[in-house]
This record gives sequence, structure tokens and C-alpha cells, in this order.
Amino acid sequence: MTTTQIPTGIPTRTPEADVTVPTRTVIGQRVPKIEGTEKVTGKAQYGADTSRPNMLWARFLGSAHAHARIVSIDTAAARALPGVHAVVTGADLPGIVARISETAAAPEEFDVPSRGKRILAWRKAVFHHEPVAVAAAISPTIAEEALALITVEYEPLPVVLDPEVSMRREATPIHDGVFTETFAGKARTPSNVAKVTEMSKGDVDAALASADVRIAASFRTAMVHQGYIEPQACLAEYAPDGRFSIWTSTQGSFGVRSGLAGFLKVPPRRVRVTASEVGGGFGAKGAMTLEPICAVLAYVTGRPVKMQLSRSDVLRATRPAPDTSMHVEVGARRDGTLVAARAHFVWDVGAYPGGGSVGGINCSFGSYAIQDYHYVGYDVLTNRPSTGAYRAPNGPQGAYGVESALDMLADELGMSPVALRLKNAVAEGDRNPSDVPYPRIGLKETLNAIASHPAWTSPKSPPSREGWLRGRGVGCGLWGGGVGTSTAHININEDGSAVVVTGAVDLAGTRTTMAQIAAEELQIPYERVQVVQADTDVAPFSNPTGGSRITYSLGTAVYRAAIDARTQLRQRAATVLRCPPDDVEYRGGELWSTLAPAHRLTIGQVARGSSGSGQGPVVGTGEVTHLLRAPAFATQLVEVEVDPETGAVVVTNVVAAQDVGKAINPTAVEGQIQGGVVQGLGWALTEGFVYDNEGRLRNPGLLDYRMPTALDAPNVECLLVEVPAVDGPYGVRGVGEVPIVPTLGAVANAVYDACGARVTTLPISGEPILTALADPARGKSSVAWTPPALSLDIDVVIEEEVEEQEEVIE
Amino acid sequence: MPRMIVNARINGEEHELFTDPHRTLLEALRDTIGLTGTKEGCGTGDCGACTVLLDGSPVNACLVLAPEVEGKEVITIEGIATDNTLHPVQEAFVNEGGLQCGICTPGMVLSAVALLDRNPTPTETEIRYAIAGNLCRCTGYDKIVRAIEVAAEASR
Ligand code: FES
Ligand code: FES
Repeated sequence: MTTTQIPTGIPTRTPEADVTVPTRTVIGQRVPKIEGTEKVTGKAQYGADTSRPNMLWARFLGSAHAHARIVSIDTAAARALPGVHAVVTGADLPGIVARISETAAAPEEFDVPSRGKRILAWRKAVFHHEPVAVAAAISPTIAEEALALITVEYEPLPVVLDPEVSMRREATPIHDGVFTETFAGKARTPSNVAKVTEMSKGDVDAALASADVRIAASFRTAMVHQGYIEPQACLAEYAPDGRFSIWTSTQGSFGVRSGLAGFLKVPPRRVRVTASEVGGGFGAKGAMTLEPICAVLAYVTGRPVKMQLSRSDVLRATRPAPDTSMHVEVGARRDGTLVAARAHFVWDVGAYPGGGSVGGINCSFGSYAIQDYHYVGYDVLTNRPSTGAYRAPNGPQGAYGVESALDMLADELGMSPVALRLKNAVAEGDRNPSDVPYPRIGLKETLNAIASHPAWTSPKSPPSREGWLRGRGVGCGLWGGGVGTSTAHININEDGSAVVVTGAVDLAGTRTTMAQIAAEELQIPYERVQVVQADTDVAPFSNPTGGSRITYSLGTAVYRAAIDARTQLRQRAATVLRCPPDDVEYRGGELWSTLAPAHRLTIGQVARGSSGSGQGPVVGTGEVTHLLRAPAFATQLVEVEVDPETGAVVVTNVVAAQDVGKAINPTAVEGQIQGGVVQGLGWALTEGFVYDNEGRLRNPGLLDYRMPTALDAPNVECLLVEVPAVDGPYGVRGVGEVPIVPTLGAVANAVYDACGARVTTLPISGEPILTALADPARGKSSVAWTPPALSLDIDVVIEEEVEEQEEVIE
Repeated sequence: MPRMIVNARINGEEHELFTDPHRTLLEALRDTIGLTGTKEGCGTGDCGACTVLLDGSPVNACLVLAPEVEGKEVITIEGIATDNTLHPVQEAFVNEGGLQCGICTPGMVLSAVALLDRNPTPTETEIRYAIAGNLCRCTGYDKIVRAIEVAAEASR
């Protein structure tokens, strides 16, 4: 059981702010994106768009096997190819890093079961297409030719692809160095179960036994990819002064700086990271990928090196989202009150530890107040690519199981699925599965928004396609909210305009939101605010962008920076106006003394004067680390048509209600919701990695890895519910993660409503529907599931320090 | 194989592209003449991020070999705005929230421009059909469709 200390909240608005801002002007407005013009004209620079003179191109060779010992790698022919400047393998890395850092080579440090450390397969490859060697050459063509000249001798090992096999006691460990981590400590024997996450309360067996109605069902989702359209790309340059400059498509420039400095064993000041525009991240670009390889190649060759993944590299060898097998049991009283829940989640985290999460369990069951429960999650290693964060990591998979089970329960009780959820929905003071109480939240409000929407209250219309069946389903979901450190500077220019400087990466429009907050608090027009996302040498520190934290946390920093700038402006105006600062009124971008209101100064005049008067420029700073998390909830209604002949599913309509706290820019918020929902529809209906028995991905292209197109996507109507968050400015909540959480379950429930098929595997479309329709016990509880015998010996070492996992950013 | 020179008119200017014969128009645009507005999402014709207009028709530049554009007219995203004035489609994408990360945007804009050139009054289905080859992972397409509707209205 984890308990988290809740930090004390900060006041939401200073009293001063309320006095001087009588009405909001730009908060809540649909202003156009600040960087929109750059993006529609092709001028915005993404990861692959930066080049340097004399630049080399790098490509990597992937392992031919999903599990094999690497006997030898012969790179002589590749090195001899004219135009090739370097070929590097895992065995070369310790020596290169030792030279860079001027420390003794420590090969064993590169032979640890960590994706972040083992950037090139070392002695052993553990998933297919895992990078084994890299070549840098004067053109991409030559780099590719060089790879073709590398000979790798492999000794194939047995490939494990099924997590339920891999987690058994008798299974051969994929790594010698992975020992099961639990809240209590670490196991002593190596195992493919990298981690066990457990949460419980009360006596779940007794509570389940006493329930009037019980549902037990098993579900499985496929491994899916975040599907960002921009493949990872990076450019690195090494200067003779010992500094590395990195241009990369990342969600966190400071995260890359510390990660890379750690990898190269150099102080952070020797690394400068510039984040490019990011062509979609969704969690996947929170972890380092190409940066260490490019940095090493730049050092070895003395020339700038650019590397860009191909789409098949992206699909085969980045970090997708875990597939999840789960068994869910819920018990309720006749009136629908949930009394108990039990669940096992098996996350196939791929070939390296990481990828599972506590947040996933909190997202799955956290919507409901349940007295007695026991939840266990297992991070299980297999010979598939190691996994990572994808929008509300592991929430959508778990919520799919839980929301399906609740629908089965509603069916059993003869209750409306919305009424059942309303009856059990959490509210302020209820606790989440980690036993942390919720502050003010808006789940019930989102449920009520759906309950009263015509798409729910009106009778079902007949299907638009002949022979098809029509249905609708609902689902709920949440994201606990992201916090972390954010810093912002606001420079006031001599004309009264403002520049906000941050080191946080804008993934989809938060620069605009920050400009709105700064304009609001400085009381100047939005158009007069510029937002600069600066590199790590220039910008104030911020944690990476992820977990829906930016509007909330960086927004608080910008808000505080604006208040600070305003305070300084008042102080400076006081010297000009010869009155105490307390008597200076600041309104609408003007300052005056209450004693002589006729004499007015503009912000520009004060800013100009202050530099002449020897007081220096006005720079407001704002910093935030501790904020109370602001959980965000959503309820979605999905309408589908199903062809019972083929199992085809068409989504005809989605209504998405979400508690956004306060929509600073409703257009941007709706965009996040619509994008998340459509990703969820893809996950539910058509997306999924397919592997052959050797562990090779059979659909490594966007034709066969089928993401929704404009023809597949329905209109998504957004109902923005605004229950103000307790902390942070304006009551705002993060909005990015939660819209994908309810969608999978809502689709499954709509399909059941349409055709009576309770589909327990994703993706749903086609065969799974036909199989479910053919099952005589369809829609009823599925067979009970016993967790396989674990290789987890319970002699955990309590005292042992639990090794830090690589930081996962959502 | 030796490199070759390909002559083409790109965004209204004559260009000589010095390229390996097996490299694509996408690579020639981006790496030879530095027009990086055209994006690569897949390199296999499945995402539409590399859409350009070849003699007025939208094509995936990753599927066109550079030598194929000899003597032809190519319009990329850099050639859509004129004299610092946005094309109505670009303007509508900005105003209607038709972009988030923006990596699909150049391709989307070109597909939409090509559609409106042919059909100034498209229905929603026609719009969705015209951009069905352009994947967007951020927006769910709704606001892109709205933006194209608004652009169609504005161009009338
Ligand atoms: S890059 Fe050409 S279609 Fe994807
Ligand atoms: S805006 Fe990101 S892919 Fe379309």
C-alpha cells in the first residue's frame, strides 16, 4: 500500500490579483495558436529539419533475432567503405565514453538490463531489430551501404513472447540482472517479473462473498504504438572545447541533458540541448532514444551527425505501450453499490524493465468508491521491444477491463450503465486505489452531462446501413494529474510588450496558453506577448512535458512570473510618480498614483525609464514545484454500427464530457479531447502489433498498422465541464491524458449494445466480434483466471535500496 | 550509379537538383535544396506528410523518384503563401485550431488546396475523402475538416 503525503496547497490567486483584474479578458478565449503561422508555412523546425555544415548521416543495424547471443560483429568491410567515417558497436562504447569523460572504462556499466544504458545491444540482443551497430557516413546512402557490409554472428536463444509463459517460475530469465521489485524490496533470484505493484484495502474475499451480484471476466489488449507522425530525429555536434550540442525532438530538453550527461559521464554544463518542434510525442519522446548514439558518433568523427529513424524503425524498435492481460472481479449489492473489486494486471513491458505503472491501476479503478479491494500489477519481460509511456500510461487498457465489467454488472442488475456509474462515482474526500483522498473533482458532473445529453436520452435511431446493428456505450476514466518543477521568466520590453521564456517543451499549443496567462495578468493584449522555448543553456529549468502537467504547472510559473513583473513595475512607477508603491494602481496596462490619477504611465514608459534610471530591466520570474494534483475525469458516450456478418465496426458519433477545471483556450482543449478520443478509437478497433513466432513484427508500416484516417474518425462533440481545481491559477486542470482513458471501454460496451458480443480482446473489429457472437455464453462472465506461478520468491530483501528506474514521462 | 542533375520548376523558380538517381523527390527537396517544410512520416506512401503538388496534383513526394520531376512544376508548402500573405486554407488552419503538433499540416494544407482547386464547394464527406491519405495523430481530424470548410467558404 502506498501513501502519498499531500503537499499543502498554495493560494489559488493572490488577493491582489483579484482586486486588479476585475474581469477576465483573454482567459477562456479561442485565440489562434501563437506558432500557427510557422507551422502552416512549413517554417517550423522539427527534429529532422536542422542541418549543419559538414554533417554526417547515421543509420543503425537492427538485430536479426528477437533473442540471441551476439558471438561476433565484423565491421572491417563497413569501415573500409569510402565515405564511411565511423562504425560503432556496443563493445566500443565503454572505451569511447572513457575517452569523452576521461575516466577509466567500465564495460560492466553498459551491460545492465536498462534500455537507457544499453543503447547498442551488448553481448546479447533481446528483441528483434534492437540496435546492434551504427554507421556514420557522408550520405544516407553510404551509411546504409555500410550497414549491409557488417557481419554479425548470432547464436539464437529461445524466444518468449507470451507474458503468462515468461512470468512462470520455470521460465528462463531474459536478463541475468533483473530481480523482481516490490514495494517491500527486491527479490534475490533473477526473474522475468520486473516489478509487482500491489494495492489493497479491507477483506476483499469476504466482501466479494457477501456481494449479491458478482462479475468475473478476463481481457487482453494488443501492444500498440503512440503513432506520432514524426519519427525520432536528432543532430549532435561536438566542439573541441569539450561541449556537445544536441538538437532533438524531445518532450524534455533538461531531461535529455541530464540523461546524456549521465550516460557520457560529463557534467551537465558540457551538454546543450535544443528541443525542436515535436511532431507528436504522446509520452514516447520523454525518454532518450537517439541522443547518446549521435553524441558518441559526433565525438568519434569530429563532425556533426544526424540520425533519423525510418517508420519501420519506429514501429519495430522504439517504445510502444504494453499489451495488458487482466482479470477483473467486481461485486455489488442489488441496488448497484459496489462493495468489492479484485484485479490482476499483466503488463507485457517488453525486453527491458519499465513500462508498467501504479498510475495505470489508479486510472482503471479510481473512478469508483470501493470499500474492499485487492489489485496486483505485474511488469513482465518478453522478447518484444521495451515499452514506455503512451497518453495516461496503462490507464486505457485497465479502464477497458473495468468499464466492460461494470457494463456486465449493469446488465446483470438491470440497471442503466450511467446510473450504476453515478451511484458509485468518486467525489471529493473519497480515496483512490493508492489511498490518497481526492480534492475537488468533477466526475459526477461529467456523468450528468452525458446522462442529460440527447445522444443518451433519445431513443436509438435505426442503423444507417442495411443489415447492420446499432448500439451505444459509455465509459469513465481519469488521470491523476501531473505536477513537477516549472520555471518561467517574463521580460518586459521597452514598448510594453512581453516575452515569456521557458525551458519546457510545447507539444501541442501550450505556448498559446502561456501567452494568454501572461497577457491576462499583465493586462496587455494577447498579441503583445511572445513565448520563447529556449535551450538548456539559456532557459530556466523545467521538468519534461508529460502527464498533462504543462498548463497546470508551467501555467502557475508563468502566472507567478507575471505577478512578479507587475509588482516590479509598480515599484518602479512609484519612484517616478513619487508615491508609495501601495498607492500605485495598475490597470489595463497603465499605472498611476491614486493620489494623482491624471498622471498615467504605460508599462512601456516604466520599462524604458527603469533601464535609464539605473534600476535595470524588468524581468519577472516564477517558479513552482509543489502543487496539489488536480485529477481530471471524463465520461464518454460512443455510438457504433456493427456488421454482424463481417464484424466491421463504424463509429458514428462520440460525445466526450470532461472536467477541464477551466478551459483557458477552448479550441485547444477540444483539440486535445478529440485527438485523444480518436487515438482511443484506433486502439479499440484496429491498432495492434502482430508478431510472428520468432518475435518479428509483421506490420511495421502504416498501411498494416492501421491508425484512424479522416474517413474513420467520427465527429467528436466535446462537453467542457468546469469544476475548478483547488490549486493553480483559474482552477485549470491538465487535459491531455484523460480523453483516451474511457474510450476503449465505451467502444466495447457500444459493440455489446449493438450485437450482444462481449468482446474481451482488442482490437475489436472483425474476427473477435465474430468469435464472441459464436460463443453461446456470450456476454456472460468468462472463466475464472488463476495467476501463473511466479518466479517471485517471496524472500524479498527489505533493506536493499530499490534501484531507480529510468524516469518515465507520460 | 553516378549522381545526376534534374531540372524542375519548384515554387515558381527553376532549380537544378543534384541527386542520386534512386533518391526521392522528398529527399531532393529536403536535403538538396533545404526545403524542409515537406515532412517525412513514413517514406512508404502511407501517411501523406510529404504531400506536394506535381503539375497541380497532390502526390506523395516519398513515392516519386527525383529524376521523375524533370521538366515538371512542383509546389511545396513553402510556395503556398504569397508575398507574406497566407493562403485562405493556411489562415483557416490557424484560426480554427486545425493543427496541433503541426507535422501533418504541410501535407494537409496541400491536399486541401488541391481539393478546393478542383472543387470549391466540397461536402464534409468529400473533404474527409480528400485528406484520407493524410494521417494526423493529434487532432482527431474534426478541426481540420472545419478549417477546410471555413477556407472553402472564404474562397468563394
Ligand atoms: S512520408 Fe510520404 S507518405 Fe509518408
Ligand atoms: S497535428 Fe500532429 S499529426 Fe496532425
